[in-house]
Amino acid sequence: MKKNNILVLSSIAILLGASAFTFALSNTSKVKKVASASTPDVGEYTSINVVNCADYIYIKDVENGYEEEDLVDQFVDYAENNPNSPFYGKHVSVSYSTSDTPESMYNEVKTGKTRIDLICPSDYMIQKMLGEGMLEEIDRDFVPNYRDYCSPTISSFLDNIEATLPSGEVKKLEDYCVGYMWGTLGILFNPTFNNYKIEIENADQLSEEELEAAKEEQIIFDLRHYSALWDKQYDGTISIKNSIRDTLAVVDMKHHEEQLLSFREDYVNGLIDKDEYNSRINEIFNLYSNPADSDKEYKFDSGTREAIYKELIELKGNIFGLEVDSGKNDIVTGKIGINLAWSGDAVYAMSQAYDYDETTLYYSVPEEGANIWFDGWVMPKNNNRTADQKLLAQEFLNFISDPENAKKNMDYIGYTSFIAGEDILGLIREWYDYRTSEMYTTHVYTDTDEKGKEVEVEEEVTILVKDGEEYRELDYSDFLTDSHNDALDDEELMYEFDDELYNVLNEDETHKTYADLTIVDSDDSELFEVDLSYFFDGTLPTDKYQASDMIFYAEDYYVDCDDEHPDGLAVGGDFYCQYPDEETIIRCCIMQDFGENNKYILELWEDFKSGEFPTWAIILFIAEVLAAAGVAIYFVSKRKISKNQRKKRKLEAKNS
Amino acid sequence: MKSNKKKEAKKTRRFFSVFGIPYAVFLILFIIIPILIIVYYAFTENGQFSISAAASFFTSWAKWKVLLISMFVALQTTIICLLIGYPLAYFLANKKFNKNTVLVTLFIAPMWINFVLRTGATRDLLTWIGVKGGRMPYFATLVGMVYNYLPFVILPLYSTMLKLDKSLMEAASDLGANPFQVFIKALAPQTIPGIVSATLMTFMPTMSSYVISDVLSENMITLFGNYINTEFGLGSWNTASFMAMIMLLIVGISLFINLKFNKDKEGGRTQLW
Repeated sequence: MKKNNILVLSSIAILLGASAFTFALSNTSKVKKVASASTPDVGEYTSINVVNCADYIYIKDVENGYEEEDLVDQFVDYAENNPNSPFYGKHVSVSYSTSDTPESMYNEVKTGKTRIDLICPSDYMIQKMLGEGMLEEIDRDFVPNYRDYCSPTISSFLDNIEATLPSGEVKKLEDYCVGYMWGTLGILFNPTFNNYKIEIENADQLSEEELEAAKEEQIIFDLRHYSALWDKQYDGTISIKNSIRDTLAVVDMKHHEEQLLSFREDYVNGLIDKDEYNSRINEIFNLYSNPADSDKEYKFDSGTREAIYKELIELKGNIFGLEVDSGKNDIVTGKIGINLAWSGDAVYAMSQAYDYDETTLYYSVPEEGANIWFDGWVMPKNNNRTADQKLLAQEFLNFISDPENAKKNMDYIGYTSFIAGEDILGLIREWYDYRTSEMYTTHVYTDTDEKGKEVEVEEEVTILVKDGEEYRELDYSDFLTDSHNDALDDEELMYEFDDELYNVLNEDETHKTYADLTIVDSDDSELFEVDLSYFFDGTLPTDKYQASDMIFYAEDYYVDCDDEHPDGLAVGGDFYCQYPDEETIIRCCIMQDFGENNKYILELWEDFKSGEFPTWAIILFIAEVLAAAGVAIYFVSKRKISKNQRKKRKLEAKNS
Repeated sequence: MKSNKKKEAKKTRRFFSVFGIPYAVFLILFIIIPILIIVYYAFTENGQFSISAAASFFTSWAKWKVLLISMFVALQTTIICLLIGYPLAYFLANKKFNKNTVLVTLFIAPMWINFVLRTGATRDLLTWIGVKGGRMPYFATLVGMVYNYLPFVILPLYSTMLKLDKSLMEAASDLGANPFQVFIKALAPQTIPGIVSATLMTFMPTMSSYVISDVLSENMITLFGNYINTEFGLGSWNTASFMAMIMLLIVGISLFINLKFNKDKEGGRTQLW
């Protein structure tokens, strides 16, 4: 027995030691200390603490092709070794850690013991922090990259948010926040999912293929509205977000569908301009922030509460389930067909679904309007922060706002950056512009491998075009109608391989694909002209870029199914997810902090989440409890009776 | 001589008590201090004494509903587990039916795989055979719960059944009791400690579990554990702490009941805990 005790105790001790060790290990790996090589002296050593969401910054990942050092390391290297940096020749360090949700970030700032210099919460949480006087101003002149390269349209969303301090002072968000990533909340759906119960008129007269096509068209048509989520045709195939703000935004929009669509009609008919249109949507969209006693037309009073709750319960009866991150995988594996999704997740799911079984998913930003959200960097107030540390924090913001670094981040994370500029333009072209693929062809040749076996090798090469006497690489401008290069028609397109020139359009064994260079020339309706000048305007050098450079030609930007809505189609592919066009952006609004309504909205959500206690369950429950009580009473009374009898017998025995 | 022996024993005991220190540290660090923190948050708001968390719990029908639903799910899980586990444990413990212990190992084996992984697989399996968790949230949750907690029912019952006094049952049937009477009068009373500890091992964890109901009911059922988690996520630490305290209270009550049964039965050390 004793031996056993020792064994148990010592194993507990070992476990404890091991867990303490792993705890210490995991802690160090979580809080990444980027220290300088030599131990620095106090005074010339500056360190900052940065808190971000998980997987929300470029990290070295050689397996997946991200071969550069972590962005944080690159920053330290830049700050210490670049003559432009104010910390040139000094020692700096960044301790980078992660946090899950905006709420936990808020708690970390509010109750945490360590000083946080930069933190990256979502829009409404920044507004809340600002309203509670927790933030320090960030002068954008100290973040010149953000000032110069941030997309003006996107940053105007941020600039229009205000917060009121308890003292009544109104602060503007733009003085306190440097935007990081943004996106929309829309509906991701699979148009070929076969569990929908779609009814098509005259279905018996159509062939099977026609029927399929009609169904697909119907789905795309329906999914341009939030009401599709309530539609019994899509019963049990939808998953929505298990988070208050996202789901309430959708329910609000569905409930006010009629008003929102009438605003849209006014806008399309030119009765109101885009600012008026947006502000009208905004009034409905942000009704949750208006207390019941406010004089606004749309507010969160008992009538609205009832209506919203009714819609919520109805929605709950029509869905597959609630989720926060399983949805993007479920739609790939075919558990669901429709998912309320953030644009970044939608991009991820689209590429996954295509890799999985070549399914094409679409993303819709419904015509009623949608939620545009952003995450931004703020600096919590702290008395222990030195001027140097503030400077270094601003330098960090400047570094990640550099278009070149923003490009790395976007490439790695998949969300859309606030930063525009040349590098981002190039990245989008590389990802989505159809012309990019026309600039390359494939050279095929046979080679011998290590074992002396002959293998066929394909290598991508850049197409060259004759410019005067010389050959140069094709350029995007060569494809534009107004500056059309005659050489393209002369079929004098070459490519270089092993110092030899080959003719592209010459049909022989050396290449497989042919360039189709008339793509933008004609009224080719297969390609969409996507004008992103709203995003890039003012961030590109004017001597190098014209308006036409901000136009992209993409294959699946919109899904074309509805000729009646030429302006502002609502459904598109992955390019549309990441960079919606201006028509879409106009109907998007930022959802503000609920303010004093917060606790009523929490109650509403609790009521919704606690669910129904079905009648059969209540009856069964009561029956079981009664049965248990009955058995207990039976045993207790039986025991009492037998006890009494025993006593009696004992007495009798004594007496006799 | 005798006193010398006593001294020796005392010395040994003192020596061995050193090994208790790690556990004492563990106890204080991970059990006592967290409980104190919970109690602190349950009765304060922004650092001031307040009963607003208690008030918000007792006045909210939603929270009571969640508590009742959790109790309902926990009770069903326990009953189903016992219905399946009791005869199973009997057969497993009976040498006539179970020649070696391989079968026992098979039934206990799922315990060795992390339940989050198993729950994910269960979800895939259920959707594959056409059970949509969001549509039949109670059914899906109960399937997951029973699957997960069945080993915890079998194990204590199995260990009590191993020690069954079979002569009692033989005597009962020899004296003319029918099989049902044998079960009620001779078998069941002997296994009560096993039943009680199996019940406790299932009922309490089911109430506070949240991964299983989250995953299998597609977040359509909220159990008490889910609710505490949600409240923490939303930043209302005080309410969440108060609810955690209610949970602790229920654990306390059930431990008390367990103790009572322990006292009734002499040598009731056959239980797992």
